[in-house]
Amino acid sequence: MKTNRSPLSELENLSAYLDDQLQPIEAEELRQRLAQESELRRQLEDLRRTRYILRRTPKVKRLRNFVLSPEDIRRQRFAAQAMNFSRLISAAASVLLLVMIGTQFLLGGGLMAGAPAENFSLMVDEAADDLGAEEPAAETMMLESVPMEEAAEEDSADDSIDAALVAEETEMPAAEEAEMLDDAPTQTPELDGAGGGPPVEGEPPAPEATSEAEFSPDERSMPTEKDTSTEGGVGESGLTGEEVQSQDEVFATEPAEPTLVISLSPARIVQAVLLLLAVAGALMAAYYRKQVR
Amino acid sequence: MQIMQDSFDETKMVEFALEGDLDAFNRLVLAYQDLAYNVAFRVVGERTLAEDAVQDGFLAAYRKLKTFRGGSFKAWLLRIVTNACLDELRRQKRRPMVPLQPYDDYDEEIESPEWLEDPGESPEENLVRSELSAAIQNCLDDLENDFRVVVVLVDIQGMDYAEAAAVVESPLGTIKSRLARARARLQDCLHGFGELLPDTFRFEGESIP
Repeated sequence: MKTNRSPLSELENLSAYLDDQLQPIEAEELRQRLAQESELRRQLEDLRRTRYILRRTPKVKRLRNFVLSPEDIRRQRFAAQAMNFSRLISAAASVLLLVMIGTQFLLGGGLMAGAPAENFSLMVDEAADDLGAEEPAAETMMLESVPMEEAAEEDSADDSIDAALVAEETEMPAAEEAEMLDDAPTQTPELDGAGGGPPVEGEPPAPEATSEAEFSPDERSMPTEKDTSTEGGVGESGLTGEEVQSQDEVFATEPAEPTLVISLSPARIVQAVLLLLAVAGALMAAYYRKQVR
Repeated sequence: MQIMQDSFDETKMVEFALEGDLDAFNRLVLAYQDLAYNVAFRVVGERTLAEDAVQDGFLAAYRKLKTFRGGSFKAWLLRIVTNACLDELRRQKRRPMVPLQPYDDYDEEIESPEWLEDPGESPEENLVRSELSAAIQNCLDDLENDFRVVVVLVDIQGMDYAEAAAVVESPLGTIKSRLARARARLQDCLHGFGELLPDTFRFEGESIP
């Protein structure tokens, strides 16, 4: 239940009056008002009763002692030192990391400009996460150098292993292309005669093939063949079923192949270690801070 | 040891403690632990949290002893303990609340917890004390931390405005204002308990001394 109450300043004065904390002049003025105003007297009485109740709040008994043992002090000192050390490590690692990144940025003209191929591979990983399989062309366009180097070295056996790995990472293109692989040997003879017929169902998006052709024309003739086999129908390529299958297997591995590249340049490793140190230091400092309390 | 033979002299104990004498500091702990625990209990509203806050407070006080610049050691110590209480409350926001009334091994509510028991009281008196304590705590819990600390220091622990101002490091005017508003809020809340309060504590009851 709420009672009618005076404005805050009057409430404060009544409360202070109750505790003899008003200046003599203020107290005298209030006393005169109290003599005339019954509502003010009632408010003062309610405050007095509230204070009375609060003053009789039962004391609580301790169930334990709080004296400190030398062990408590030692533990606290150790925790305090450990906290300071962790903070120092964290701060130092953060500063070094920032300096490294800043230097790389300033000297290299930007994070991407001076970065080796592995930077691109990281970007691809992120892009793959963000875009999933919806935009395979975007992946391919960002990956010019890595596939060229790797593709030259790898034989078809590697490709087939990679194809399995890629299937895990890029579900959509792999699924579509696997479908194509299944269909290709049987459809080719029929389509040979049909030349320029309707596009095959489940063909991959055109931009992917185009971008592949643009970015790695000198390393393989495959993209061109792939263009014909996917865009214009298999019949235009003039390839046998076996050849088409083999080419398609290679094609199927291409978009996601760079995602398997693990960047292990010394600078990258140092950055990762510094980042780990900064995070670990901060976590340890937070833990020891709790101990210090 | 010479400290233990001397009568309790707060200033001397502080001096010895500043020199690293843990026994001297523990004499101060023994002198103030009841007050610290009662303040902490009313501020945080729960026994184990209060124990943690007091323990943390004494540890922090020992660690920061060099920052004590004279004046009231009691106020300085209570400032550290109330800060530890506020830290506990902030942490508590991230954790579920533990009920004020404890439960026994059979999940039955213990009506008269042992930390409120007074061996000299009859069971009826003990029940009244327990109910009053719970009602007041319930109302205190609804106050903002700043208001609760001031009303606990002044009305429950009986400090004057100046002492409370030293504890919370605020001007007298702030204490006056917070106390008035806290009392008004508590008055409304305690009204709500009506007949649950003992006769002498009811607002409609006989006039108080």
